Amino acid sequence: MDKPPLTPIQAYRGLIAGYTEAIRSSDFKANIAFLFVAFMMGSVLWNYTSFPSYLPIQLVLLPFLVVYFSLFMVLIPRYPKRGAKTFIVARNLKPADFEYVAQTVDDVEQLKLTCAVLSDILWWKTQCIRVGFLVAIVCILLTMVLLLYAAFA
Amino acid sequence: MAQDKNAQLRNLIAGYRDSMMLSDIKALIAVLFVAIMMGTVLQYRPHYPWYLSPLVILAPFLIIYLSLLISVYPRFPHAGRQRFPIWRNAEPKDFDFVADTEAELEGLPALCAGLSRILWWKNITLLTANLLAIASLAASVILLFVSWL
Repeated sequence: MDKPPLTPIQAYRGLIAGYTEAIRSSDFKANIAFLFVAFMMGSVLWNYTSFPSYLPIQLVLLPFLVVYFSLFMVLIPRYPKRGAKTFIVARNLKPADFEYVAQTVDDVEQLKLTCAVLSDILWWKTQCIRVGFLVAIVCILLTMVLLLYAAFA
Repeated sequence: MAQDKNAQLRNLIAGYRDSMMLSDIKALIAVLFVAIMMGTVLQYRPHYPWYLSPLVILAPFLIIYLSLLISVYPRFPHAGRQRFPIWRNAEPKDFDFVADTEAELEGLPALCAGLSRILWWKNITLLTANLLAIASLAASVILLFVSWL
């Protein structure tokens, strides 16, 4: 059976669902990446005594700390002020505070604002997770080069 | 008929997204498994035979990490970027295009192609990591029995 075309409200809701899914996926990746880097740091520090003299501890630890910082930036909870009217996070709320939310739930302007807020949040998360992943990838490549150098030099 | 085609394309897009999510979950669990394994393997390095140098021991781990990190690296298809903008300081007026559902329908085939390309990369990198892990495990089993016999 043919589906009727999407209404604008459905289209905005679909986009919001897409943003929410991408944000959730980004957070999941960052959480697992945290564990990965933590395990790796243990292995690296355990064998630090076998490292060459030109690799001081500061240099070895720097990429780990940069990756941790980036991943914390991904996972930091964000509730921007401009979207706060429809997603209230506060202490001591009363049921009456949510009447406005129920009234504006299908307002196209409100949906556009939600899209803008989520796009902004996803932009920050994507940039930070990319920095973390790129640092990890570059460090793995450097480790390979150093291992080859140590083996054949 | 056209709506039927669009519905099929939408189903295909949902299928690609599901496969990508599954692939990401597999890669993330694998990266944890390999990270834990590397710690265990390195712990016993002094007991290994001479031909298992640090390069030989670490190379499979590093290649697997590289493959898995490339697999889970966040990517958004170029074709869908106009309909899924990721902007800093986006304004509500930037999302006027969403109401134009005709434009969305025109972009569905290109979005399918973009998602398919991303899934191909995810699949090939995950496959490389899995095959290398299986080969390394097989090599470990052989080495264990060679040293035992």
